Amino acid sequence: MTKKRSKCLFVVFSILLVICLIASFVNFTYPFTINGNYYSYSNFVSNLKLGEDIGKTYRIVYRADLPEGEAQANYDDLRTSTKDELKKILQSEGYSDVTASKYGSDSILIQVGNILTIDDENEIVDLIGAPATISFSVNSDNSDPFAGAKDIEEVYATSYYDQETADNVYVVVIDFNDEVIDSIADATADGGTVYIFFGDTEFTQMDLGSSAISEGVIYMQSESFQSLALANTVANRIKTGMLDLELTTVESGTISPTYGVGANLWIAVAMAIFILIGFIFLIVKYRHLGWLACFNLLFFITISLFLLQSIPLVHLNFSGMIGFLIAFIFIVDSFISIFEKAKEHYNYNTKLYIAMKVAQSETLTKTFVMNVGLMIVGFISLLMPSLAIQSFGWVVFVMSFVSLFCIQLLNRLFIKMYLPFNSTDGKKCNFHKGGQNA
Amino acid sequence: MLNRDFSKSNREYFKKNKFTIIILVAFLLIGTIVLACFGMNTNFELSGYNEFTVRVGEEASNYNEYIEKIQLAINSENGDYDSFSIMGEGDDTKLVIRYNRDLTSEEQSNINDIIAEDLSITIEDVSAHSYVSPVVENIDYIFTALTIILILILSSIFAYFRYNAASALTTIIASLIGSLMFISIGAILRLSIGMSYFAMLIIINLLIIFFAFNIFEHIREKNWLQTDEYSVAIDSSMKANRFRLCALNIGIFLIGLLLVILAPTSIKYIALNIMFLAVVVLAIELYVVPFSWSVFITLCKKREVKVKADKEKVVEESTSKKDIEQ
Repeated sequence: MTKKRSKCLFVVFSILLVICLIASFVNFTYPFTINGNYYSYSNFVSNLKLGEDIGKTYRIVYRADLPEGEAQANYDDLRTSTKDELKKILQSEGYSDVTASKYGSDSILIQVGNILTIDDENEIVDLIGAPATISFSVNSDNSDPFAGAKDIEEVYATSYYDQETADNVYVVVIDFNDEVIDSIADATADGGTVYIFFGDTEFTQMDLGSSAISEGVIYMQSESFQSLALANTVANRIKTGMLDLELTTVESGTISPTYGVGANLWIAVAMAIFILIGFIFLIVKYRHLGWLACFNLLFFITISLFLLQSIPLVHLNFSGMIGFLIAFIFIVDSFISIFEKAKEHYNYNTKLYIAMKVAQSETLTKTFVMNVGLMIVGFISLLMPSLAIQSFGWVVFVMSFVSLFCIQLLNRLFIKMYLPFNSTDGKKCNFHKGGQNA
Repeated sequence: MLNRDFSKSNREYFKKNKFTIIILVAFLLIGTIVLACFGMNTNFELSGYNEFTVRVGEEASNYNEYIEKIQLAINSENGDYDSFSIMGEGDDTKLVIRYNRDLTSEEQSNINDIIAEDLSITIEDVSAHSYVSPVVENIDYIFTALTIILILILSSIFAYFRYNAASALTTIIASLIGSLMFISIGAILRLSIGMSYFAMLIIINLLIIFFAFNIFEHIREKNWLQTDEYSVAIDSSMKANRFRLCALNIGIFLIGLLLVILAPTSIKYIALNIMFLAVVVLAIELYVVPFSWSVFITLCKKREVKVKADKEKVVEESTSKKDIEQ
């Protein structure tokens, strides 16, 4: 690589890094309007989804009552199944940090982490905020319902390809028990409209035309089902009407993190100090190579932040933050391994550029194995049910992947870019010939 | 001759580090006894908790004053204050208070009375106490253990094929002792153990394995195993890795210390755990790994020599048989 080309590449990468840093850490309003509105940009860090230990949590307390006819002896089991079902519904909507507990002697407490904006709160309220038993009727006043929550076998969202419109069509399927197929067919024999109610409130209505529901299955279609996720939300909303207990909201609202207000700030400050110490260590110990490593590490941090905030299931709790530090330790150690190897070769009177080349190929297996090993650990942790371990697993998995990219590709490129400026003078990297190395 | 040298060097190593090894063993023993007698001091996530809300009715700039009084009230009735969260805003601001231990309804009402009096609020603003079931289920403990076991199995298989059997065994022993030591410290100091503690246990194993592999890698690179100077091998590898090992763990320790000094009370327990994590990793790497590696390599070598001698004996016998037959 020529010196001129190296200079150009350094300028390009520096500009890229500045953009990455701004995207990661700076919030701003766009200096132009779209349809007369100003829009603001929210950085990667503020988009990170935080767990309930360090971030805001939405909490709902429900009083859970037995439906008529249920034996009191089953109450505890029904309360467990209801809280587990609520948790499942929220998780299938993409809320990864959900806890459900029995509260007092007759209530259920649901806590959902990752609350960033008021929209997130509204979404949860829309989904599970007012659960009431579902019923189906052909009358608009919900008189003589022909089926209820207990008659439903399963509800799910699916899609099929419509050849006429040449597009996917999204459908919510409500499958009833075999026992009520005939009664549903009788009730809907004349076709018409089916009204779906939650308690006494109408949720939606469907026009059957002149056909009856003959096989005990309702296929709900709507123009609002623009994607499978939207259809799935409606399916989940229907599921909240099928819970074993009747729920009444007692209390709801956003609460501060369990580790205290400002806990995330303190942890972030501690992490920043740790990262800064890592940078200083590399620069002091390897001078020019240290600067190169820091340049690379900044890419590592920003790419990791980008991925962590964009993958929907990732949420950061305290364990995740520790995972961030562990991945940082591993990548710094990879740099140290490469530079130490180069130092060793330089010590035996090898030229700097040869020493760097040999060091990179000699440490290839070690760094590769180390990062893949960490990735495997992350993957194993992802499969565990504990939220803390899952968060750790996600962070470690994503960051070891980025680490591989930075060590195996970016580092090679940056060293190639550096060598035209200094291919012989090891002193600039704190290397000494003939056994003078510390 | 060779085996005697190994044993001798191990004895010398033990003598040299007698004090530290005795402290390690003592920690493990005391921790095990405390754990067996009193169990772990689990926080609300693991053991469930009691909760009540106090409507403070204003957005106070500093809740510490309220919390101090509430904490005193809970502790005076034998409760065990855990943490608090702020709910709502403006006139509707409530403090959600969590504490461990089951209290009688009389004790609960006493707490409410004290709080109502101390904070100058009416008794209706302090809600009834409700028990909240744990968010962590028993299966989580099993899965945490499973994660650690899986990591250990995978890493020891890797160590066996890349290094040798002694390294694989050392990896397992060092990780197990590290985990036990960490749990022991938690048990002895009665630290509040929450969900993040599970992840910490995995992290401690990861760091121990990571540093142990660095040590083994150095021995492999320098071809020390081609010579018989095993004690020199481990000493030289330790020497090469000591600075990096100490620097990093001291860094982790200082981060923990920083959080202990500056961060809110709720994080202090975790910060303490971070400090102990660094201490445990450092102790394991500096003392347990080299010691157990020396012991295992001796045993492996002894076995190797014995197998070799047996093979030679069989060959000799079969040759002499053939000679006699001829």
